Amino acid sequence: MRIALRQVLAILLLALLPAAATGMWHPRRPAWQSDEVTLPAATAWGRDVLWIDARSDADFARGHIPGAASLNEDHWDERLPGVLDHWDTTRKIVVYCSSLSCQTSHDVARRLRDEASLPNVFVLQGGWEAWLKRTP
Amino acid sequence: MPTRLSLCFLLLSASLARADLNWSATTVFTAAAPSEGHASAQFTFTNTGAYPIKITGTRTTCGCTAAVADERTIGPGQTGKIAVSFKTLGRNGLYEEPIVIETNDPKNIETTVYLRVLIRDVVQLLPTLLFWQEGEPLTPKVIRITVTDGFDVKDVGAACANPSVQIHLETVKAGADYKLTVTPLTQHVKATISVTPHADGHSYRVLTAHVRAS
Repeated sequence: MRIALRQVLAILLLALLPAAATGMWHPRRPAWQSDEVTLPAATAWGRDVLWIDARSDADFARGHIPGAASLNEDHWDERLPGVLDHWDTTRKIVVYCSSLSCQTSHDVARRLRDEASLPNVFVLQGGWEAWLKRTP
Repeated sequence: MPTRLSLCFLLLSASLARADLNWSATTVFTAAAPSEGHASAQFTFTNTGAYPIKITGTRTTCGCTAAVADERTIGPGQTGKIAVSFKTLGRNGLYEEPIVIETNDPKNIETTVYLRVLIRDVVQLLPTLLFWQEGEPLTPKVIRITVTDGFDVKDVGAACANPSVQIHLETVKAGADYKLTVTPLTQHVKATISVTPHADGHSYRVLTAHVRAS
């Protein structure tokens, strides 16, 4: 029994070393502090949210969160001023793209934070798919 | 002794799981300017297995990335490639795009490779939005204009069509660093500032910064 326990511990320790190294240095390591927000949390903010749809124009035309503004990087320069017109410091910005695997919402959120220095910019976890699956 | 056996088993399992598709790199890094339109890269692989492999499809998560696979069946010892193109227009910063490669190899039905693209305009404006909240004194705020390494910029021009916004451009280091001081003269102002980098004989793309005073 004691030997088996020692083996389990040895294997766990062996697994821990590369996991720790990956967590610290890997370029795609998970963020310790996520900028993501869940749909229930974002909808609980009510009218204090400015929804930003980072998907393509065609996807936006097919359907989007009511009141969302379309801001994708193909039309960044033309559309950013319109988005800013709907923003004020009391509003939180929630950016979404198609699904959990898409990266576009993170790219748009990064630019709003880093380039425009906007505070309270979040990414909707699960994106448009999460909105479609929501329970009324 | 049993611990050593377990370790050997772990190492053996890892070596057995090795793929027959040997990628020269699963992450390719490239850099481009937005005005170039596209950044291109190539992923190459060698079939180190004993039987032919065919790429059956590619998937990307964004309409900004296109991947075209070598249509040939890659025989043992042969090399194939995936050509990837990333749309740079309107983009800025570091992007990482996953590309899923599908094959008819049961051991490697899917492999994900990554294209990392650094997109840098000729100059960087920071921030691109200056905002004065309601009731906030209309004191001057500054936009830093930095020329990106590798670009030849002689000087920079700035203009604002709205007379309610005063701008003052100062050279910190010619061809490298500039300071744009912006002051709204009244409340409730919306304006756009155009920044144009100039080089000998030509001008680069005009960049914009935004002013909002509530």
